[in-house]
Amino acid sequence: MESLSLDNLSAFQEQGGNWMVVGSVTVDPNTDIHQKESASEKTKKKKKKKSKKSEDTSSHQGPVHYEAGTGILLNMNDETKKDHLLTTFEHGDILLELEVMMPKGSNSGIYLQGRYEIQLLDSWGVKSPRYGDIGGIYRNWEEEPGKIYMGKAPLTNAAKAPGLWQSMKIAFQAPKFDESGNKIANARFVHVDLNGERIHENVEVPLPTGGPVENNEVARGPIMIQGDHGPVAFRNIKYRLMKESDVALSDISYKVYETASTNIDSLINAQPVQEGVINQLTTDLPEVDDDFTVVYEGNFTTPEAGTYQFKMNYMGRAQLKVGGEAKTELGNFDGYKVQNDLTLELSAGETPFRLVYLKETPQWDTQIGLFSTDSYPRPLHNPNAYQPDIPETGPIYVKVTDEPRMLRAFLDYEGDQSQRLTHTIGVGEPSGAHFVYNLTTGTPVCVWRGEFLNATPMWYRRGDGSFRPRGAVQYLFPSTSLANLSDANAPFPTQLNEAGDWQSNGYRIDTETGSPIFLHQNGRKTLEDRIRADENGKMLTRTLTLTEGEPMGETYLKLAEGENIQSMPDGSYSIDQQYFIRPTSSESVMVRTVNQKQELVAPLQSSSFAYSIIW
Amino acid sequence: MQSYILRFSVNCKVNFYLFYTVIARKYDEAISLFSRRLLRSYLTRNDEIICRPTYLTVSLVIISALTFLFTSSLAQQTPSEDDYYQIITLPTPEDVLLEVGGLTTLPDGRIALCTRRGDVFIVENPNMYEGTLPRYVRFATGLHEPLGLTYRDNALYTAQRGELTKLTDTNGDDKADRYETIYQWPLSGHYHEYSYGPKFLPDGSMMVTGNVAFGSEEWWRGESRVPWRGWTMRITPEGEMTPWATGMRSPCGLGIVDGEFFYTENQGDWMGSGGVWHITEGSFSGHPAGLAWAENENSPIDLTEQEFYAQIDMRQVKKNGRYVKPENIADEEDPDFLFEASKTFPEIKLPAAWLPHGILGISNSEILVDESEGEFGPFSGQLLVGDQGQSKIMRVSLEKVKGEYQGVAFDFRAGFQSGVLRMTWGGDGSLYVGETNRGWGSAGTQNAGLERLVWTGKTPFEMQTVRAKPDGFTIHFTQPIDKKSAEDLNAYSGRSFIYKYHAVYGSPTVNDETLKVTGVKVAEDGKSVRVKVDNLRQYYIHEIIATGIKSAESGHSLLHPTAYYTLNNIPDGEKLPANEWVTTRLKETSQSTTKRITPQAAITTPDDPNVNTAAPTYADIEPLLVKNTCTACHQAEQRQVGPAFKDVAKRKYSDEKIVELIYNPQPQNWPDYTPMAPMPQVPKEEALQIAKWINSLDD
Repeated sequence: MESLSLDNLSAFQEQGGNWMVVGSVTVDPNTDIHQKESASEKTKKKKKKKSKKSEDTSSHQGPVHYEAGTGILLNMNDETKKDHLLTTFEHGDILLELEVMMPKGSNSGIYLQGRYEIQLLDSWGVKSPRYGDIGGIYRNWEEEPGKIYMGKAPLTNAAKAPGLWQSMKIAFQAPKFDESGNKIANARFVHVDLNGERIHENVEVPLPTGGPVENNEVARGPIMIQGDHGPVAFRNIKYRLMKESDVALSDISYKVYETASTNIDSLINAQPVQEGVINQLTTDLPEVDDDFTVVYEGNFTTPEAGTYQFKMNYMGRAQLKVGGEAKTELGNFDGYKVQNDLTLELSAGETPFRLVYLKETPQWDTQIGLFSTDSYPRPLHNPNAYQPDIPETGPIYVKVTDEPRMLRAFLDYEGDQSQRLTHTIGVGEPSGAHFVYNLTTGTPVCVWRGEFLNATPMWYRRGDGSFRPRGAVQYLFPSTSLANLSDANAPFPTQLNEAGDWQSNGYRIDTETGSPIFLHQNGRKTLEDRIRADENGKMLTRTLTLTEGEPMGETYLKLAEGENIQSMPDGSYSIDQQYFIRPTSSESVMVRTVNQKQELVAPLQSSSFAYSIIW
Repeated sequence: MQSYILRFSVNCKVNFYLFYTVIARKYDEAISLFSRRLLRSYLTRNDEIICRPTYLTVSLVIISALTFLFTSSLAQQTPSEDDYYQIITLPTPEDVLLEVGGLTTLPDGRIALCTRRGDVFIVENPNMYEGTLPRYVRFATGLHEPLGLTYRDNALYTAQRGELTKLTDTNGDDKADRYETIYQWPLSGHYHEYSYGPKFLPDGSMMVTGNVAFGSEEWWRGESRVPWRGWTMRITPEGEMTPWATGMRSPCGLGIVDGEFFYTENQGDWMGSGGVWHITEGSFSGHPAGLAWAENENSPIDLTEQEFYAQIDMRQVKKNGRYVKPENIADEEDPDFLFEASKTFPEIKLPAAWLPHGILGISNSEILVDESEGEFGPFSGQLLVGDQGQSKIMRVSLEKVKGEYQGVAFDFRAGFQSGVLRMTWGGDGSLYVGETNRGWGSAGTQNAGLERLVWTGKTPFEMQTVRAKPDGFTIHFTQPIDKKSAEDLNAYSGRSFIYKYHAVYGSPTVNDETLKVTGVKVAEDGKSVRVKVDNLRQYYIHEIIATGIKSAESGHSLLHPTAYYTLNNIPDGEKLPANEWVTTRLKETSQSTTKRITPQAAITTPDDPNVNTAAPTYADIEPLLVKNTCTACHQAEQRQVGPAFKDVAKRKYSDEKIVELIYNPQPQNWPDYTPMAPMPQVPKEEALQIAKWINSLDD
């Protein structure tokens, strides 16, 4: 992936000046961009005390505050300056990744080829997202029947609160045309992810969406970002331009030998049991079943010399020799679902190849597939030679209906099995905000909105004992949240699954709501830990209550940790601009630095302490 | 046979005397009256009747028909398990999936169960009074695969994957509102680290056991990655944990017998077969993984991994730079045995009763003592042991010899719809059986369920128990035996054998020796017989097959004629003097109904061009499959414990490859099944015939 430089605007075409490159952006999540100037003036005064006078280095407009520098692309449009932004490069097939920050009430969009829009909107808290919500494929505004496209809603609302960075990954395939210029394949979003959650799975776009650069469809076009509907910021823009190549296999002949043998040279001199000529790479050959070696010979044909990408998937062992040089190794034993990625230099016209494929493990399928991967994988083989695995079973989901639902299982923190948490419980609330809580460390570990859990990894066959949250997951931190510390600067225990002095005593069910109340014990002191969603599912509020014993100031609570914890005007704290923590009373909360990380910490000085997690 | 009757009109006069003998059931006499000479001359082998229509002929034919019908119904009258213990399936609503992990009885007659998906249900009306449906109330939810449930003092205790939890309903709405963590233990997150229990000791503390994990590269080798995997833990209700014993690999079944802790082990690496173990504090039952924590502060075991592997071969072999799974060594010269190792390592505890693999189960589960005092039949005080793979229950009767528990195991009841994992008593003397097979497969037609076993009130004719004697065994029966059949030495057969103690998955039986039965003495009351066995071997499993013994009253054979006695100790005491033994052997005519199967001489020579080289038929092969215990786990069409033979055929192995796989199975070829143990004892020609037949299924 190439990084799109945001040192300046040279990667983009000229525009009216609403777009600029800045060093940092902070957005007040509570102020809508459409609010009158007067409301924002008040907050502006607070800001002005901290910010320097010079207009070059920082500025402020409505809820958006920014500082000079590089690395962030910011749009601040007004009545006169409101151009869209176009890249200087044009693309066909492309992989695009970026991060976007939406102020409250703002609106923008990413147009692939300047013609197919993925909507950007502040959709925080929307229950049933439409094509017009963030991530949706926008509609067009045609009226003639046959030309109307109504867009497509994202599979789920993966939006985060305004003022937080949201990640988006787009895999786009351009429409295809024949020699006469007729379209033979629609443009396609191969997949789109928002905040780590899939929102479009292999969807075609039959027509350009509303407001394209030109109302036609082409092989290549620029990226366009909408700039007339409100402020929006971007960073970490990466892309990979791809172009499908014309490479093909031709003149293929095959020889099948009786047994699987890695001693190829001796084999070549032996008598094959079958041989012949085929027009496509296939395994549907006589004698190719459980213990065999087949040697294919033929040519790569391509009009232009150059460097081409391939991948080879197989069961068993395979060796590809191109122009006499071995590009993969055979190894000593059969491989299971092997993938080799290859970069080959091919000459114009024909480049000879020899492919040896052998397998001696009878119960594994005989499979070999060769794909051109200059763009999305294009098979160079007959479908019977290799097909991607079809999932064996439908998923087993756990849903929340009208009362809270709980399930204990392992959780891989950030999806990483080497960070497996073993004493965790998932809690699903009817409002649609869910969380996983670590019972050993007394820590809420991650939060998400939408559907509850995928239990297939634990309930299908033997399972591996773990579940997966369904939705855009915001991970908080995995280590201990509740511990007795010797002083305000002592570090918390840091090992995964390591407890502090407080011992988990399970939980009891709040009979009114059905939600769990987690219980922790330290000597004679008992702490109750309640985590509740608000009715919109926009935030979770955690309340810790000491029900037995006296708070003596040695018990500390870690509310968050990150690289950069920033205090916000409304008393909340932004954690790396990924989520907010808002304590109900800011008295005892402090930001401290431990081991080069910032932590938001509070000593438990009274018998009750509460804060909200907003994401 | 009905054709015989149909061909004759009803007008024939029937010989009254013949009819009388038929009615009086004196079949032997009736037949001998006419059969040999007259029947042979008037009846042919195929269904055509060639006879003169005299009344004599007619009555002969009718006699034969009636005899056949009577003997068929007599054959139907040969008792089956169903005549004594009936299985009733409890229906469940569509949205209730009962993959039962734990089962317990509440004081009001309701049953409580927990499921592998984390729910606890209370079952009201489990005995379906007057045909009404049982009711399921969801008491608790969200647990992490709980595999045990016990009621005590208004609370339910369960071992989840990572903790021992106490569930309490504080406000009386039949829903748990307090999920109290009694004790939390470490986990590595490996899928196999199942935790089981609890069971209460008389002192109020609880026993919990935990599975080992498996290696990454050495995926066959059990390992203990965190404390206390592969251990038994004793935990008080206040949450104090004491590591109690180790050596466990897959300790699925827990039981309290005489106030002592017992568990069942599952066959696997180091465990040649499953069995029932008595575990005292500081015991080491054989799997070395848990020794990793022997040096922990409160561990009662002194033996370390280094000390262990200094004496016992770890079988860690590399091939082409990669570790390979160790295989059973055929014709091994000097294999290790657990009893031998126990002389080097005094911590080793031998099983009180081996449950020979493939015969008495393949994944032993729950142990439950029959405390019904006669309400559940004649086996009060004995142990029922479930099996998850063969979906059946076995029976174990223990005694103490030289201060150690040992005893005998029998089949008890097969035919449950899925793998038997847990059992509990109903208040009415019936037995509730909780079932699941997810992940390993089982006999039966279902994947999960709840069934009930009820004694019909009829006493089966069984070996009630077997006791060791200085010179053999005493077999006690549930009913008086026919003295004549019992005083025939040919009525008894069997062998003694043992399993290897090695790092290989499972073990074949080795050192097999036929039992030398040289005398019997039937007791006065006819309810027991003392059997003299000259070649008793301490520590060996003694298989006693008593097919020849008949019930005095009914003339039936034993419902389960085979017993397996684990002779860890031979009792001291008086051997009977020679003159007290009966040593007669009757002629071999009234032989055992389980024939000593010899493979047919159908193995043809390849030279003869006229010989039919077609694959053997099922009729040819069935005796081989039974004899070699293939049918314990396989069936032609349907998956049971192992894959259907038809599915094996689809793999298109050569005949020789199948033979190889019988001797050295590769469980990774069938990842969703219980692994198959090596079967080197199958003779090569038989294995080849079986292989040929299997391959013929894929035509």
